Formats: sequence, structure tokens, C-alpha cells
Amino acid sequence: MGLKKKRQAFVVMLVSMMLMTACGNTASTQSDQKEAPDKGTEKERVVTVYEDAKRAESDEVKKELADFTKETGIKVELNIVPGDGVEVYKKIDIDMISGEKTDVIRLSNPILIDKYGSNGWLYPLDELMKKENYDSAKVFGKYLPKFADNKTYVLPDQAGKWAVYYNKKIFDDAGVAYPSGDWTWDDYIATAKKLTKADKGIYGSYMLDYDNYMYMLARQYDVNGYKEDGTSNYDDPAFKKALQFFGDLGNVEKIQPSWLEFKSKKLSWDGFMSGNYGMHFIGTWYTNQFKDKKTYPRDWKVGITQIPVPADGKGNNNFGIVAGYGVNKNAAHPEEAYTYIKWMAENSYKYGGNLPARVDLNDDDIKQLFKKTSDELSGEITVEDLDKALISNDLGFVDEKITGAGSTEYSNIILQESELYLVGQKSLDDTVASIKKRADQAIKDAGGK
Amino acid sequence: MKSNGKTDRPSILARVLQIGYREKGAAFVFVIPFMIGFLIFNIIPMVYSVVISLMDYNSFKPMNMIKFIGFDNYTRLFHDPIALNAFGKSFLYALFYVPGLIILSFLLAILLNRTFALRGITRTFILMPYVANVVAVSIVWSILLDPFGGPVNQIIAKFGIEPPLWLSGVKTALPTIAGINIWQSLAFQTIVFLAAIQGVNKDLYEAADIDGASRWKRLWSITLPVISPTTFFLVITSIISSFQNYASVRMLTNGGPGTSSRVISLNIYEEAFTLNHYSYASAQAMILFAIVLVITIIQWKGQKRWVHY
Repeated sequence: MGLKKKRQAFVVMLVSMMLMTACGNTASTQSDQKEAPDKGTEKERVVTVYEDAKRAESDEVKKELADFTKETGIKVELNIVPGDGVEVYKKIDIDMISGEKTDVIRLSNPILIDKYGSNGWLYPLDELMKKENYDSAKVFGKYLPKFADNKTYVLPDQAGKWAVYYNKKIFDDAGVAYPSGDWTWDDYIATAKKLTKADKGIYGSYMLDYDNYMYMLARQYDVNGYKEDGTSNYDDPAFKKALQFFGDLGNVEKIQPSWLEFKSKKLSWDGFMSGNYGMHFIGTWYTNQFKDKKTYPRDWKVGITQIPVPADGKGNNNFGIVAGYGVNKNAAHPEEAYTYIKWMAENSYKYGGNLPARVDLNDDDIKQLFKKTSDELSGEITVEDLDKALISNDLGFVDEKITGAGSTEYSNIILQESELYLVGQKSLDDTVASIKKRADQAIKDAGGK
Repeated sequence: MKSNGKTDRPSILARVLQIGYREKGAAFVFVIPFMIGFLIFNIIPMVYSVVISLMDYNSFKPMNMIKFIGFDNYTRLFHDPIALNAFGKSFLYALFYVPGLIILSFLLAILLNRTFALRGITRTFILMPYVANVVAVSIVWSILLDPFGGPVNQIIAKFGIEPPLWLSGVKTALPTIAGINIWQSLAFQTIVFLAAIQGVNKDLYEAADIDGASRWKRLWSITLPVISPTTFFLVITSIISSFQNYASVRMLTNGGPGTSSRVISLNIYEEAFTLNHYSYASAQAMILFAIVLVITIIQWKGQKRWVHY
């Protein structure tokens, strides 16, 4: 055999070996994967859970999972999705379509709960609950998510409310008294103006770029995002007023970064922790950031008070969201998954500091929760502060989000169109008209009216 | 003695084993791993995308509930102002990006072809943006172009000029993104142009000098015609990449303000993965594919007029 032929033969053999090696590896991996569940069911009970990268690293979640395993004997395996917030659901959506068998999905807002529950991706829990006479309605009451087919797909673990967190150092430096609650938006603006020191880069207020900021005032008046006929209600004057109000806080009152500044500087959801803002209007899930002094070292103390209300007295409502857990309809371990979500729905408030979605807890249970939060914050916020801001006040409660047919599209449309108004590129009337028109189409496309 | 044809003919297995020893067979063996990858990762997904685009997979529901709806997703596109706007923005972006990139990289290549001090290190610096991560590039440019006290606007303001909003302006966002992408892609195009310019026969320039040709005449009548195949290649690839632009838009403006920089690639992504409109997104991707294909064919046919091989 000539040298050329030997060389060719060697190359052919090498390529063949590489191909066979690759195929061989795949085969063994598949075999290992097939064996894994059998081993799991024989030796130990396992539940697999989607978790975003940030939460998976947090000490609270780690402790929560360890306690769950200790109590139930079920081992938790996390399927960690890169990213945080709603971004992780882009991957989970695709996983669902691909038939992924990860057991538990955490659904962090009502839009997601509706999306997964109403589209048939979640395992109905009714049979499992019936087996052990578990009365979810008694435990979660009004917070238990409802679906058109009257089945239970989600157990809620939190029913967060909104509050105003404030930086006591900025108040002290400006010689302004801390807010005592029972206040109006006019009071909020007046207080924030006293705190704002533009030359020092200090703003009195900080709000984020979530869709519900665009219509928070309308929600306080309990104006629905949908009309009774199912079309968009964005032509209700309350939405126009709400958008103008939010825009004016940055553009006219100048008490917080304008939308343009927020976007240009790419200010983040945890910007308040920088110490450059007097007050932050946000949900109670934010309490955890103050506990985490490793990620957010600070030389200032935090306070909390109830949210302001419109001065006319007709919008005396707080708002918030229900979040919860569902079981994947293709779950490899549905019974373990049910045990997991029930445990989380009943206990996770003890770890994260969120308000529970349980209606069976008494005042002492809630006080105990507030005491724990207060202790973890070294008394910066007292039990009384938390109670007054969130429970013992005259505020009603409404849903924070607009949920219904095409709600994801609706939310995106609100953000896209409102942005043009907030940066001065579109008139207020044109903006709400565009939102109404596009939202109607989105609702229609989603199978609504 | 005549041999028996049956006994002389090698078996199928032996013939297959022999393939690798023949020149054509060896080539086939070399190509087959690529072909397998191309089939799995390009052809099959493309066919799948065409099939999906003809279905009503426009909500987050299981596959077994999906049915064929023909070309509805394609016709819907012509009534969707956001999608049409996104296609328009992509064309606009290409109008900023492609001429800017080709002209600047050519001029830079001409400059770098000259002899000057520190030429080696200058060429290295020019290559740096090309190897930089798009996320890092986006963060750095966002800081530089911050309309609220960013260094670029501070300098502009010192000259008494009203500074632009750059990435935050409805009219300036898209050209600014194009400018940043030109800056980042400049190195590759420049190097290719430089190689082409260095490959021009020096005798042609000497002959032109003897004939008294000006510098501009030499450039117009010798350099540009000789490097025209390279220019053609760069124009085609930059047009294709301009329509595929996604990452930098996502990082710099995420399509905003409003939809002022929402190019079609971003729109397709948002339709598919934020709104679960998989079929509609596939239809848009197919239209995009067709547009890029038609533009490329037109260029291919038109090359006879200006490309000299």
C-alpha cells in the first residue's frame, strides 16, 4: 500500500472512530438517563423543580429545600434556568412543549398562573387532594387561583402587597419626618420633593419600569383592564389619568428618574439599594433585599409605610399579586410534586418574608412572621411598622395586574406604547387610543371578544 | 482462462470499505460529518419552521391541538403594523449599516496599507472591537452615549451644540445602533479589504504613474475594479448580517423607545418566545428568508455590471 493510500486509510479510520465514539457516547447517556428514574423510585423519593439561577443561590431557598427534605424525606433536584424574573419562562415554555418531565413550576405572577393553568400544562390536583381530604379552599380561601374548568392546578404560596420602603438616612439628612402612613399621593410627592437633591444625585422617589406602574392609579380605583364584553377598557379615563400621573412624577415633578433617564442609565430593579433614593414604591417581596447585606452592604436604615392613596378618597386600595406552584402535567413524580407544592404553599412565607396566601393563619401567626422579619433586619423595621403598613390599615385589596385573554400581549402593548408618551414622542390621547386598539386586536387573536 | 464474473466482483461490504480509499470516496467521508450536522441543525429546523408557519400554533397550547391553517399567518403579517414596521426598520438599518461599513472599512484599509510608524500595533488595536463581547460593547457604549451626563454629550455640550439622545431618541436610536455595529464589525471588513488591496498587481500602478494618472484615477480605475470581487463578497455578507442583527439591538435598546428600533429579528424573537406566537414568528422568519434571498439573487445577477473577475 502506497503512502498516500495509507494516509487516506488512516484518515477514514479516524473519522469512523470519531463518529462511532460520538454515537457510543449518546447511547450510553440515554441508557443512564433511562436507568436514573428506576433507581430513584427504588431507593429514594425525588422531586425535580424549576428554579431560576438567582433564587437557587439564595440562602433562604437552600434552607427551605433542606427543611422540606428533612420533613418529608423527598430529595429535591433543581433544574436551574439561567436568568431571573419572567425571562426564565421562555425556556420553561419550550420545555413544556418538548414534553420535559421536570415536576414543579413556580409561577411568580397571576398572568403566568393563568397562562400555564388555562392552557393545559398543569396537573390537576383535585384527585390528590381528595385522597388525603385536603381542603385547599379552607387553607387559601380567596387566594386560591380559579380556572374555567373548576379544577385546582395551582397552590398559592404568597399574596404580596405593596408598600413604600424608605431610606431613613436620606430623611434625616434632609430633616424630613418619616412618613407615618395614611397619606395621599400629594403628600408622597411633597415629601419626595423635600428629599430630592439633584446636585448630589439623590431622588426622593424610585419606581421601576413594570407595566403596572403605568396604570397603578387606575387599579387603586379598581378599574378593570377589560370591559364586560371582554374588550380592552383602556379607553376608560382612569387609565389616561394613571399614565399621566406616572409620567409626571419623573418629567414634571422631577422627584424620581424620568423614564428616559431610567432607560438611558439602565437603572435596575434593585436600584433603591444604592442608597440614592428616599422612597421606593414596590411589593413586599422586596423585603429580602434589606436582609441581604452581603450583596447590598449599606450604611443606612430602612423603614416601611403603607402606600399613598388618591386624595379624593375613592381609591383607598392596596394592590398585590398571588404567586404559587403548579405540577407539570408530564411530571415524572406527580405525588412527590404535590407534596412539594403543598409544603411550599403552606411554609414558604416563613423563609422568604413574603405575606402568605393562607387564610387559616391567625393574628399570632402573622405577628410571628413579622417578628422574624424584624429580627432579621435587626429591628430596623418593627412588628408594628409591618402590621400598620400591610394589615391594620383602612386599605382594601385589588389585583395588581391586568389578567385575562391575551394578557401577556396586553402587558407588552402597554409598555411599548406608554414608553412613547413617557419620552415625549406621542401625545397622551394618541397613546391610550393606540393601546386600546392594539389590545383589542390582541384579545381577539387570543380567543377573547 | 476467463475468470468468473461473479467470483471476481467484490461484495457490497468490501465495496463500501473501499470507498474511503478512492479520492471521491475520501472526500465524501470528509464531508459527511458536516452534512449530518447541516441536515440536523439547519435543513430539518428550516423545514420544521415552514411547516409550523402553516399552522395555528399561536398560543401556549400542546402540539396535538394544533391544526393547519394554510397561509393565514402570512396574510396576517400584511395587516400587522408592528411587523411591517419591524421589516421597515430592518431595511432602514441596512441602509445605515451596509454603506457605512463598506465605505469606512475601505478607507481604513487604504490608510492601513500605507507605511507609517506603529503600523503593526495600530492594526492590532483596530482588531480589538471585533473580538470584544457584544454585551460588554453594549454596556460601554450605553455609558458613553448616556444623554444624562455621559462623556460624549458633555463634550458636545461644551461646543454649544444641543446633544442628541442617541439610543434613547426615537429618530436617533437606529442610526446609533448601526454606528456601534459598524465600529465593531469594521475590523473584519478592513482586514479583508487590506488583503485584497495588497493583492493588486504593483505593475498596474507603475504603468498608471508613467501615464501620469492622479491618485484618485488610480483608485477609481485600478484599485476598485481589481478588488471588486472582494467588495461584492463583503456587500452580500454585510447585507445578510444586517437583516440578522439581534443581539446588539436587544442589549442596547431592546427595540425601543417604543418600537423605534424594533428590527425584524427582534420582532420574530419576541413573537415566538414572549408571546408564544410560534407559527406567526415562523411565517415572519420565512418572509425574512425570502427577502434576503431575493436581495442576494438581485445582487448576484447585477454583479456583471461592476464586478471584474
